[in-house]
Amino acid sequence: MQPNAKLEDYSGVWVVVERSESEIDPVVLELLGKAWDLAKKRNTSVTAVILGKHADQESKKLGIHGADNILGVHCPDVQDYEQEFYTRVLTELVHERKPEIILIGATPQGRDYAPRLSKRLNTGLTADCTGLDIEETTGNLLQECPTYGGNIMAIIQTVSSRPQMATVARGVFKPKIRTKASKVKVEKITYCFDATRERASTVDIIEQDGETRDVRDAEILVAGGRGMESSENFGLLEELAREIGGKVAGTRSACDLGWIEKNCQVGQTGHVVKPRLYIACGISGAIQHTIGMQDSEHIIAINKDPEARIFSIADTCIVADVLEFIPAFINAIKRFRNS
Amino acid sequence: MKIITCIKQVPANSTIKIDQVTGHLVREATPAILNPLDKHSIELALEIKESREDVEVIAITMGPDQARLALLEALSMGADKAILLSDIKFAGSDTLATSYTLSIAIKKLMNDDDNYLITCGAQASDGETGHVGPQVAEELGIPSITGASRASLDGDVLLVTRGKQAGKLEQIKTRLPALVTVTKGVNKPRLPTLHGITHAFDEGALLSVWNAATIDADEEKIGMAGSKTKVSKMYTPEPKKENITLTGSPKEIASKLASMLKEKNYI
Repeated sequence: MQPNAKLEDYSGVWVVVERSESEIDPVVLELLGKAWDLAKKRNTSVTAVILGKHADQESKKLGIHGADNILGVHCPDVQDYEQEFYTRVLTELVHERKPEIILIGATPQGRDYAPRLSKRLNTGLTADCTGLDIEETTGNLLQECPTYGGNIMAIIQTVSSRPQMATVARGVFKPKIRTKASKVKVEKITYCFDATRERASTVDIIEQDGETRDVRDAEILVAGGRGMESSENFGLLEELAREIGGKVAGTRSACDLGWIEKNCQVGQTGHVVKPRLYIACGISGAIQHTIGMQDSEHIIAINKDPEARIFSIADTCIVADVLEFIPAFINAIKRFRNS
Repeated sequence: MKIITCIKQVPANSTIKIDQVTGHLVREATPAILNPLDKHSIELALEIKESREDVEVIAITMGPDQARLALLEALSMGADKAILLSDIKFAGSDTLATSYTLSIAIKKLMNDDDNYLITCGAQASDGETGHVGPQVAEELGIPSITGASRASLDGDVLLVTRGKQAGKLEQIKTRLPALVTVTKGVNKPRLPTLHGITHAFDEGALLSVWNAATIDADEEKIGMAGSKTKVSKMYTPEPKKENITLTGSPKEIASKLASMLKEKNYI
């Protein structure tokens, strides 16, 4: 926050737009929906900020999902994401226009520049929020986020500085659609980015080798966590998935341990999935994981710990040793399918 | 050149609880360990040290006196020196205040020498924000590359590979001084050696304790005073959903479940 500015000088909710491929990242639309709620409570408006390339057809999409204004910053020298460009441009825009709240996707890109931006603005940043609301008495943003491995929830506030900054992972909020069409105000500015500082620059983008399994489109997912105990035991999940016509996914622990490829990870730092059936095998249910799968149509949880948190979001609970249960389950499926 | 590895001591497991009456964390009886990702950060520093002649590895942490145990672990893995930033004035720091404190200690350590690399774990297992690394870099005015799954140093060029989006990797490079945060995939941390442990316990010579005065900290920027975020409430999440529990032997449950899935047309 600028030294001579007051808290009440700041107003408006900003969402920073991110693209994946050439599309607007889904998290942006989810954030716009939440920003819309917050702006209503603060009696203010929502601005979507687009850095770099700006395509006009995107304005409509952003407007439908909750943006009242669009601020497009065009920079001839920057094609894609760049840490210093984002940090510098956003800092200058914030100093000039003083938004009260800034929401950023907790994507690899957002995690890269948001902490630097908060430092340069000398204001608070809360990571990976799972809930956002306005405190009536103070007007402060109430930022709910999991901590200590998701075992504890904290409400965090930025009380003495503005803007209040928060990052949110994909899938936490639902996108909203405006039924009443309203005019979106589009403003475009050009920014000349002169890189005087040493920059970190992208050398190459590499497509990963091997079959890319896409867990996002699967109707049935068989997911394993630390309770699977080994890479070999993940073979059981492959067998179950084949038998039931699904795909295999994993928690962050399972992916980090190398039991399954990283691109099959479900949760806050992986994919958000909504299959018809989600079978959670040996998964404790830390909130970082459940954020990514809690909207599945039907959730079956198998865990030997009756107190496991996963049972609180499951539809069907099975307290059993997963390694003993799955072979029996595979046999039973074979029997019933043919009956 | 110097490689500075910023580490953190964290609660050993996730069984940490809240006192339902006071609403405070019950920290007693929760053993503390070195943040798991920080082992990878130390390992990266040591691997680079071994690949060239001129490297000194310094582990640094901010915390209470018991955090020296995390530094001893770094020393026993092979770090050359360790610095514990400890002062009651640092208590209550959020990531902004923590990164300020670490940065000015690093400035003191480097004494205007620009020939350095900073390594950090991508995030700590307790707060899981991943903020402190990039914020230290910001305070020092150097580039940061987050979430490395591969990292190497060639001369003064840091080359990093990291995940971009599903199925895509990005190669990114920058010149020193720079900061990199690492994920598990970056390497396999070594275990402390007997020689390393003997070396670590010569801590009088290797471990320095610095307080707010040592690093000439601006008291407005450290601890509670320097923190912009405040925790206003903590609680244990209790999501509830109506569900059924299948009981019996594994075989009986398997049959009940398969029959239910058949009924619902899943199989």
